[in-house]
Amino acid sequence: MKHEELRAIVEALLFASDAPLTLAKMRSIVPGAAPGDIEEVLDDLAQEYETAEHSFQLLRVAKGYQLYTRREFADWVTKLYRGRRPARLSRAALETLSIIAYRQPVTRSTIEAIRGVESQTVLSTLLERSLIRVAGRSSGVGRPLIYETTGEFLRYFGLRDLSDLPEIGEFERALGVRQEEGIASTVRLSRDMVQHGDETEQVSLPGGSGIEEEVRSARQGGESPGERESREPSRADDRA
Amino acid sequence: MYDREQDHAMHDEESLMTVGEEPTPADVKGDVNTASAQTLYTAIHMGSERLPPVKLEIFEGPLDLLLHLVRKNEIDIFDIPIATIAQQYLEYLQLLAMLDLTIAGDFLVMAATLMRIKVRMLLPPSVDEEEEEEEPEDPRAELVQQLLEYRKFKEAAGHLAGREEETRELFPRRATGVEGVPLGEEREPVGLFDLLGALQEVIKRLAAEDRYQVGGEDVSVEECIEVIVDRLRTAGEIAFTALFDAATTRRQIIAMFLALLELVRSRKVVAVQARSFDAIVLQLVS
Repeated sequence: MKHEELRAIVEALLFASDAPLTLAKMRSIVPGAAPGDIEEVLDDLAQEYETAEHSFQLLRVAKGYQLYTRREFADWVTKLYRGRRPARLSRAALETLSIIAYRQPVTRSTIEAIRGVESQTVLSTLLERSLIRVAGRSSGVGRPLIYETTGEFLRYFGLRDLSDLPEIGEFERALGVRQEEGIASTVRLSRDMVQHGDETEQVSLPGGSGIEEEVRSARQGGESPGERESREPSRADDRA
Repeated sequence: MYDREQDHAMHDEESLMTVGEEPTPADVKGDVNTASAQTLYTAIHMGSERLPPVKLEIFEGPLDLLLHLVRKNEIDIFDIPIATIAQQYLEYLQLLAMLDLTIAGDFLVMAATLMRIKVRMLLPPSVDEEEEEEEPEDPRAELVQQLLEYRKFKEAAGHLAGREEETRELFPRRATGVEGVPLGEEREPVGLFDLLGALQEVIKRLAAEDRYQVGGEDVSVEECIEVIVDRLRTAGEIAFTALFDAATTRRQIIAMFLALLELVRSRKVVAVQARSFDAIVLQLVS
């Protein structure tokens, strides 16, 4: 198949697609293309749109390729879609999403333990907007639902895939936590907690056992830390 | 319109902060602290009976408020002066109570935690337990850990917000697909009841179009199986309703449907849809 012919076919596919088009999908449609040809043609198209100053561009998003308008035309196209676009996400929604993105698959109680607030409403909103989905149930006590991000999540934030997100550690560095200090105290703290776990809970506000109970359950989010570790491979750790 | 709302919210937040940053002289004195502890204690007990319905919107949660206080006071997060922070935290809650905002239970739980830590910091290190520990545990340890963890994700959320803003300026080309069949969405296999529901729709539609004929040619299920496989081979995938385009009698519809069920059962064909009640699409299993 000639390069020009393949380029035209791929362009037609991109034009007629309603979602990011994956390489695998394009290969299955054009089995005659030699390996690497489609990628080459895609690069070609992207460059052509760029140099010919088209009003649109070819972007890699959500594990696929999709045509997008250029940023310069944002104001005009916004007018076209006025009143028909979903609202921006709330801070609560973004916080929850970032926890799910980095810790998935993750239970609601883990999310709440990190955020320190009730998160059911936010989860419902995110599910409704297809930014997350139920990935199944955890093997922990009560078999709670576990959540993960979706392809729509990638598309919404213009990400190629999850590795397009910065490592979670980068945010720590950006905040100026000296890495060694952070790690050192983390290690010390957790060791202490293990050693003194039982005693610590007993020493405390006299006569306030009711509050104690509340505090403890709110902090632990109703699960033991060990359990959490066993079923949630931390993304950050994987990449570190 | 949205932007204006956001501006408004930000303005509110700022004005609240300004009020909070200037505690009146009376507030700084010690006895207010005990008074607020008393109110909080009562509030906590009320809170456990009926959960406060309205969420505090100004801060995302108690950890967010604590981080704000840490930042405002330029405090080293690893060495938080807990008495000062606890007092400022309570001042905020008082302020919110004064403004008649309902304070979410999570904020009260944190207030209790802060007070517990404060008390433990005041107590001499447990002398009665004669175990000579090299390093007695810092009562703030767990809270610091929690704050650091939360701060990381808060920052990550900020990054997502930035991406959201950038991506909102780009509009994707989105063809509408053909005959209501979405192209690129992830589709899931449908069950028997979905198929039966779709069949019901087809029968209703044919009845309305008055295409029922009495008599007509009989077809066997086997023939229908061949027809379906042939059509799928040429078209790749077809809409469930398209199966019945040529059908004119109830017998033909039923034969076609049974043929489909047989193909699905033997895993030669899969029926999928993007989401519940969307068009059902048939595909050959390769």
